[in-house]
Amino acid sequence: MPGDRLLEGLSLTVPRGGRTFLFGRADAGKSTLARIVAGLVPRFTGGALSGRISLDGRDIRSSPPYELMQSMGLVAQDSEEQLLTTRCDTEVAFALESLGLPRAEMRERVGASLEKVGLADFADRNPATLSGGEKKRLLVACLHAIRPGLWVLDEALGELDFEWKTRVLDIIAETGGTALLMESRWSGLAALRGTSYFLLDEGRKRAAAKDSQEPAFLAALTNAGIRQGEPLEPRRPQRKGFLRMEGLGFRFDASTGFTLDIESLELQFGETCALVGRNGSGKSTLGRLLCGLLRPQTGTIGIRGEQGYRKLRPDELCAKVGYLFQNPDHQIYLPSVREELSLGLHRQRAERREIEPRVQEAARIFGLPDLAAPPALLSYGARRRLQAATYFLLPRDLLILDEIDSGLSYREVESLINALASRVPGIVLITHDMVLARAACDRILVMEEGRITGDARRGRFESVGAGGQAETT
Amino acid sequence: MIVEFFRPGNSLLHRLDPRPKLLFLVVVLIAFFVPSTTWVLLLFTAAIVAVVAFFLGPAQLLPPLKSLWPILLLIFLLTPPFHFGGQPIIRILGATLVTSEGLDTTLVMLLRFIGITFGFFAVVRTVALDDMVLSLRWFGLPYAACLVMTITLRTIPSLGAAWHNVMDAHRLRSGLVESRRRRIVETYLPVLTSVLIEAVKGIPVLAMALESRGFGRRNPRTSYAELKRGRALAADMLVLAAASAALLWPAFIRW
Repeated sequence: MPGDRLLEGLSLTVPRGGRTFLFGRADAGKSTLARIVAGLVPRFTGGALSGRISLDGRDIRSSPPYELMQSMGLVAQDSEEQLLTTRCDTEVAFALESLGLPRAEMRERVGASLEKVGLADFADRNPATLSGGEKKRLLVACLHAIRPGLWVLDEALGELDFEWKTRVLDIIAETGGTALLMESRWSGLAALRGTSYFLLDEGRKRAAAKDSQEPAFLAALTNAGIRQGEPLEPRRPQRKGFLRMEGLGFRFDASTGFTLDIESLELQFGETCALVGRNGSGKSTLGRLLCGLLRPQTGTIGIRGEQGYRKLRPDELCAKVGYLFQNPDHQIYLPSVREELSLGLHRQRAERREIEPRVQEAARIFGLPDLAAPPALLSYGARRRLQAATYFLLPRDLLILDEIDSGLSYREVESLINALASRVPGIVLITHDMVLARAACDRILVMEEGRITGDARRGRFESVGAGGQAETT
Repeated sequence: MIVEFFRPGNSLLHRLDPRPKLLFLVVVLIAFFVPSTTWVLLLFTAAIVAVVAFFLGPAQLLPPLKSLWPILLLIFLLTPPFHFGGQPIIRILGATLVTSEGLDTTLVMLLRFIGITFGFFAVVRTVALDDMVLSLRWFGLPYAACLVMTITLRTIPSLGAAWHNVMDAHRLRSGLVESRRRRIVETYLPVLTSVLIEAVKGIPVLAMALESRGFGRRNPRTSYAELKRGRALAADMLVLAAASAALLWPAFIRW
């Protein structure tokens, strides 16, 4: 909110050539710090910045971003923010054109950079048509072409599978660059490849370490909810099915070659189920079929009622199944938190005197600030909590949480899931994080190429593969 | 929009340089407004439609017609009653509804709309946005103006996609797939609000992306993409000059 102090007394040294991980919860100030380092804040956002930021001994605060582009580059959490053109090769070439490089050199660099990130065959593709992971790789190629000294990756690896995460770090190392990675969750990547570590909390440096196994630092991460602690207490799902898919088939069009084919799948009452798999494996498509946004070409989806299973049409599913989109801003739009929360209750025709207490209860459970606050000005974490709270007040049988863990710490995701699970019979969490899936879910479903290839319940999680998401902890 | 219309390909229309194609568009506009007979306009329109069907495939006739048909229908219904010259053709209860002049004017307007639309379509379907911008720079448009055009044309489809995402999100939150049939204010206002918030939030973010990639530097900017030069460009110019002459010949004939 305007007037709030985001960072205070922060002093960090990033060693040259290493991989520094800066951990923090959603509202810790990581993205702001990343943009400050890149020279973008307060230039474009307003606010007051004091102190000194030096790169190789040179104060960079007075230099505009376009003068710093060869010294440092930023890959943001949301790739859409940084894509400018309509072809992958011109996207990579944009910065080279700004530098005034000769065409022959640009061609060589663009080709080499696209090749490096596995997008050589995508040169004439529109970046808007790439998957989330491919967009991230394209932005890595954009920086690779310039070879900045410092790479700032703000939650930039979240949509990549483990193999590509490690390759991106190798690419940075090959160019002789230094990596500064802002992360909201401790991962196998940090444990294996980091060279220095910091914990940021409420705008201050809370802990630091040079060794990934330093007990005090790991304890601080666990306390902050950034490192996974003990798995959640299982919710003891009733062994009784409540949603069933039979012979579900869907394809977009012949040109994509993608086909979703679910022979039979039943979700059980009270179950929190993780849906994992590589980009493009069909997780979001299955989610959209379940909530009625897509109409299957074959098969049925049924929800159990008093008379047993009843097949539901897409418009009926829409009223039974909720879907929390990756971008919370798509689902919140009213002028105040109170109005956002009470909208669903008004639509359910709840009695006027019931509405305010229920709104206040939801605000308390989800840790929302002042009910009069405008949602658009809330922090990312608070907007995410508000998005979940709106569904908490809606009567739904199943909620699909589509990568809502992006940018949130383990504790933040778990508290969201816990709060929602107290009201909703079934939850499906679409995620790339196997650590989170194992800790917070009762069941893991693995999708590969439109099919369920693994299905295991708590206690037998090791029996399923991870659809390319495997990483050590 | 150009971004949405363009389809990569290897047809003759794709291979022609975009600069003579843009000049040819000007010729098409002139040709359809040069005084000539309805039959000549019919011939022009048929020729342009045939070129699109031959080089891009008959299926490509549908997209422009799909977006055009409401306008064509309005012209067809509303033009004849406002022209009273010529022979009466349809009379009802003593009132003349359609005259020969009204029919002729309607036909001319329909042919102009169809011909010019297909002319533009043939160009935007076969010229990538980057080549279009490069051509406009070649014609002297400043780089900043071209960049604004590129970003605008890229942003509009993105906002279109955001509109659909937000629409889906709101339908699910309200639990009403059939909300499209509900009151417009209840359905579209929240969606529009979300999209506008996203668009407004995107302004400083776009500025950040541009400056991070070097926009604003003082050194001369070079260009990655390259258009045809020398003989290849001259050959394309000749092909389209011949086509232009064929379209403009009615202007030099006394009818």
